[in-house]
Amino acid sequence: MSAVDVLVADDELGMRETLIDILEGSGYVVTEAADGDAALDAIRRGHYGVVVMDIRMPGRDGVTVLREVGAPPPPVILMTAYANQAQIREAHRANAFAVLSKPFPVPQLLGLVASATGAAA
Amino acid sequence: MADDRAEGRGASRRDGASRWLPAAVLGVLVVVAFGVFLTVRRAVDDQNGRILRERTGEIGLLLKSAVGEIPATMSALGVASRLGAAPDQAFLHEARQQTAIARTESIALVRRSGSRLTVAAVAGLPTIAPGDVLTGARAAAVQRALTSGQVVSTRVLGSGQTRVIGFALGPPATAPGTAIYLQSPIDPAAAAQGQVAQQRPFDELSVALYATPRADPSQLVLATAKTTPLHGQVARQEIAVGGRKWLLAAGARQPLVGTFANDVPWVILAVGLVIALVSSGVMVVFQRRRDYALALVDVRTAELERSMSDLSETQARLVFQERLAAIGQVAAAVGHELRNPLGVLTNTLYLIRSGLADDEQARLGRHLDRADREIGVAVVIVESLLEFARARDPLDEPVDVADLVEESLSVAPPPDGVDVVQIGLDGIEPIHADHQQLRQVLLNLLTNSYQAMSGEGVVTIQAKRRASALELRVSDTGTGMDEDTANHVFDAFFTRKAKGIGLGLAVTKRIVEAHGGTIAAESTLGVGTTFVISIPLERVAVEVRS
Repeated sequence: MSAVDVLVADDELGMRETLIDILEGSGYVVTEAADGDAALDAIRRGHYGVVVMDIRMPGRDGVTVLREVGAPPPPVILMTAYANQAQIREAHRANAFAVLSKPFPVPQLLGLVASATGAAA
Repeated sequence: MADDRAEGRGASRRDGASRWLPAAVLGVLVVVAFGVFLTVRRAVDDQNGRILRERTGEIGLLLKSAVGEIPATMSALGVASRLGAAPDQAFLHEARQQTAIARTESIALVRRSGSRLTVAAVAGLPTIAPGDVLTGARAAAVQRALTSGQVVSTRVLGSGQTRVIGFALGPPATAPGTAIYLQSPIDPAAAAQGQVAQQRPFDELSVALYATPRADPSQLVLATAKTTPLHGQVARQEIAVGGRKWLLAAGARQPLVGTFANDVPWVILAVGLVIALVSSGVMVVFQRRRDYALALVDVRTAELERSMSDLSETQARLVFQERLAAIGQVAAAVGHELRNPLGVLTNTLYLIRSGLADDEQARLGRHLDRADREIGVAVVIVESLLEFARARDPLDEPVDVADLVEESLSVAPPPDGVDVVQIGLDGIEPIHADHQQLRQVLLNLLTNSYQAMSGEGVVTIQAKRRASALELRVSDTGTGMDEDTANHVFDAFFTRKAKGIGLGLAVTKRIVEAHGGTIAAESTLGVGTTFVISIPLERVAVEVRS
């Protein structure tokens, strides 16, 4: 199985680092972005099997990035610390693959990433 | 509207004493008026009586002098009867002169022979004839005259139109054994036309003269009044006439003090009564106005107090809402900000656990488990903070209470040693409410009950359908609460537990109230606590505090 590229976009360093460690530990190739604009750039330039992105970030937020990426976007798993119903609905409408409310169990994330890459393949 | 209320309250405000005051004043003033009236009238009567007595005295003097002419006339006749060789002729001569003036009189010369009194000669009206023998009252009067030497009068004799009075005079004015007898008809009305009765005091008085000391109608000699005996205030005086006592009675024709002076008491009485009525009336009017004003003050004060309390209530509610909103904002911010580090911690624990060798896993695993559990507790706290901060309008969906309870018990199963008893849940019609929010309510109450019982006891969930609401009672057999705790149990951030931040019951209350319902805690220390929730069957519009 060839390594799948995963983009992790989160402005929180701790979250970004732990996610990278977890995903790399599971055999994924991980690229990181520290804000929305960088994430949008990276998605446009690279070919990611899945994107794990925080909703609230400096610059463009996760939902905006998802909307501006253009078709066909990679599966995007959005994360939020706000669990705001309106925000979650908006994320689903922007065709997010899944929305995770922080903190979430790590196996749940890994499962979603796996199914997203499977779906993309 | 305000006037009606004022009337009603005025009556209740009035005390007994002031209510009777006008009547008391009226009574006192009437009594005073009557007192003054009586006093003045007595003074006027006294004055009238005094003047009447004076006038009567004057009349008495006039009458005395008039009656005094009789002895003088008779003495002259007596002198004539003793004159010369033919005393009878001299007597007749003199007597005829007298009867020429007093045409109604009869004058006789009477001689005593033995015990008989025989008329010797007569002048004037022939009511007596020479040779007549006097009998009865006439004889008695003549006999007395013969011995006394004084003028003696009879009482009034006869009756009706033929009443007469006689006067007799004996020696020494006459010759021994002879007496003069003068008889005059009595006509009281005619006497009133006489010269004496035309003089001044008579015109002011009604006068009656009796030939006895009593007011005997048969002895009436003179009367200027239309009717006798006299009525009203009457002065009486005795007059000695011919050895007898006559009665003079006199009453005033008009008030002797003057008509106005006589009316003064009545004027005083009338004015007094008017003053009494007017002053008590004025008092009543002022009292009514005062009562009305006081009642109005009451009404206005009550209104003011009500608006003040409304205002302070509103203010308190605003302050409370503001504070709650501020708490909500803080809670939301803290909750959200904690989620990231908690997420990082979760991830980190996962990394540590996956990096451990098997032997290390056995050694450190329980510490990692504890860290996981504490993160879970932190997440629950964050959830309750966010739940508290989130004020969502309840949805309007059919909620089956039995399902709701079952679902809540599956999410929060009773710990070992705790039994759950359900009463009256089956067959209750679905109510219109927010399923998820009501589940939150039940979860909070169940969790609360479990924690109150420290491991052992019974939780009773009882549902009762009321007229327009569903009543849910969640009781535990736990430690119960003291009054102070029960009073604050729904306050945000109030807790007596070692764990928890005191938002569960605050959120519960807010949800219930957002449904238009009520929640109350009934607790007895050492016995247990019952939470009573009442949710309207139909949703009602509720202003949600945000």
